[in-house]
Amino acid sequence: MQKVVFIFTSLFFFLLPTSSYAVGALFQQEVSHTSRGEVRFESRHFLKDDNLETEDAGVGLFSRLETRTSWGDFDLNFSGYGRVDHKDESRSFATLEDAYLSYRYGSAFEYGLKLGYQVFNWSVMDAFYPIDRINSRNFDSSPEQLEKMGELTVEFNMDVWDGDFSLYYFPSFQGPRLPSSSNRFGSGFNLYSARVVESDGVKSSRGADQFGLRLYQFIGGADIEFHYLNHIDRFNPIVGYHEFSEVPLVGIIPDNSDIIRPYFYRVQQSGLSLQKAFGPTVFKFEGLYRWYAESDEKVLIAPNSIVQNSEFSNGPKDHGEIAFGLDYTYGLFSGHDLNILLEYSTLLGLNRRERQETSIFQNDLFFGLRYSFNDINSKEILMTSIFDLERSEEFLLGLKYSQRLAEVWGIDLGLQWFNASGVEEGRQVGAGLDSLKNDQYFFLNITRYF
Amino acid sequence: MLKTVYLSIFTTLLLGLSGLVHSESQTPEERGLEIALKVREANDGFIGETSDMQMVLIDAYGVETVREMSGMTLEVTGDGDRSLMTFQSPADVQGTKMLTWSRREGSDDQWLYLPALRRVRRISSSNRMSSFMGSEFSFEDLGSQEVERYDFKYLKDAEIEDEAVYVVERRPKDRSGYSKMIMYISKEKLSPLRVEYFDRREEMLKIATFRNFKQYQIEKTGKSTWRSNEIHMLNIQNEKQSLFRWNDRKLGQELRERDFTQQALN
Repeated sequence: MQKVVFIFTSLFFFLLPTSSYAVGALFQQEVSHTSRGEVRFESRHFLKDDNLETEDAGVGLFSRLETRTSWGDFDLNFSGYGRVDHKDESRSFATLEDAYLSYRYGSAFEYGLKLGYQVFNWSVMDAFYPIDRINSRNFDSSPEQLEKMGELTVEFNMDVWDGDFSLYYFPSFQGPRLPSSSNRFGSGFNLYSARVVESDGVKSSRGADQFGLRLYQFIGGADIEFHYLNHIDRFNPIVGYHEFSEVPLVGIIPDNSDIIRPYFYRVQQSGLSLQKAFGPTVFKFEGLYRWYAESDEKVLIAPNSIVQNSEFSNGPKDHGEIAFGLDYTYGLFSGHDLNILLEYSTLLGLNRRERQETSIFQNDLFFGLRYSFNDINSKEILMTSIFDLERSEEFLLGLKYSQRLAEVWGIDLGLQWFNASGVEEGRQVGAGLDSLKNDQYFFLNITRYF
Repeated sequence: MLKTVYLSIFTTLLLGLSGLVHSESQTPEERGLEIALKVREANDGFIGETSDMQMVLIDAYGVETVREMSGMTLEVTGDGDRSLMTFQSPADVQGTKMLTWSRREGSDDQWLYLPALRRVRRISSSNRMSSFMGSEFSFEDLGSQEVERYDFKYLKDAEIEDEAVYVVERRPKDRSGYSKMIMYISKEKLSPLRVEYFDRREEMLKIATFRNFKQYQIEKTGKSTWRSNEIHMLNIQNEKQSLFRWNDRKLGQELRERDFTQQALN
């Protein structure tokens, strides 16, 4: 299947410029075409975990191609990426990011339509981005910046006052890409295809009516955005079984214990973001509330499915989430920049255990330093750290160095260090940052741009 | 943005051309400001501008590296201009866009669009000392040069390559990488021909030389204005050089205001 996707996308990449030029010629309009791409050699090495089932090293080849063709008031955008991993075949795949046609019209081009796959980014934060929930992610990519997968979208946009207003319809659900059992970021078992839980039951179909709206305004020098989403959640699945039976003297057991699935629930999300510069400091805020569809369907939570005290779930708990921070840039007289990043994020309306089960970051403080040399090779050093204010044992450290090489090459190398206690109140935690415990790794990426 | 920078420098130089109306009763500061305002007036009325731009970085050994950009500037009556710069090369930053709403007073509003992340990032415009793309130009050199941000002082009349100029000292009011700039403003073109930059220890740091002047006629207003299409920047402390060139420059362009908004970046 992956090969089919890859071949399809490659053909699409190849044919896109030709077809768009043909369309331009058909309508006798001037056509402009731009493209860019990259091929990246990726290497990552985890500290050994004494588990023969998991791969402690990854060597892969990542490629991305982007094209944009414009004629008249139309734009055709395409972007996709793929990865082939030499060590862990489960990491190999290809996916679309953007593949949409856009059209603007009106006397001042105040109206717009977009049709096709899109990647969105509504976040204003650098470390925590609670608002940025539309696209499914590849959870086997860098935890600091998870790769996104395109979302099939119909979008209507219009300029309103000092900003714009957008309506969205998302007709299908594509679940996130979850790591396999051999992956160090994985949960230890292979997951079958995702299921969607609506108020009227569990569904296997990918079709799902989802909606959204967004209002952006520039007021008093601040970027202010309000949004509402009614869609299938992509971040907080309940992993387990929804088909199970009660066996006398044994307890509740799944009908087929091999088939473990992620169950994603319909959620409504409403919130706002704000960012404004005050001199050398940019203030950023994101706040929202999520409420999940109620369902009578219970999911037997894996992997505790065979023991007497099996746990069930009716879905994630309703909750709020806020994040805010500062981005301060200090310009040195040498022409270098020192960028200081400080962010805080917390979940609201949940108890301590629910918070941990809901997100990796429940009550966390982020501190980062970026030193930019602003030289011909764009040398940069980035240090990041995230500390859990509830559990002092939990923290994440990152260090990265990057620079351009010979104009068309780039290199970045660094490490990620996770720390967690693994045990709380006498029980294994297995959630939050603890799910990444002992997954420290070093990485080296070399990229050729074209 | 580059256009705005150039325009500011040009305007400052142009101010010097008005020396014929110099009044003996004026203080050097009053005359300096008068020249700066004349330069701005001479450069206003361009409506809109588009161009392709090229930056050539030359190291101390003469090795050249080229950066390419495209730019658009929309003139705003009563306030600073709005500019959009799109980076074309090097390949790793291709598609990155920088939108600037210049302000005559207070900080500019500035956004950076990062295509890999599909993210529009608000950035602080107050940090103007950073090097622009590794060149000898800083953001301060290329960014908003609104008259209100500086104190001016007329120094003298002079000649540069047989061209009469006003020599005007300009000191930033806000935090800057420079203590002062000495500007040589063509009386004919009302545009700078040369600018000397002094670091915060009052030592000369860089020299900008303006070349390849062309006179543009704005059809809609009937006004004509001069633009330099190449600036050579020499850092005399590290001996590195940079060239900033404008190609296919068009003035008097009717541009859509929407193209200079945050929502139009992605």
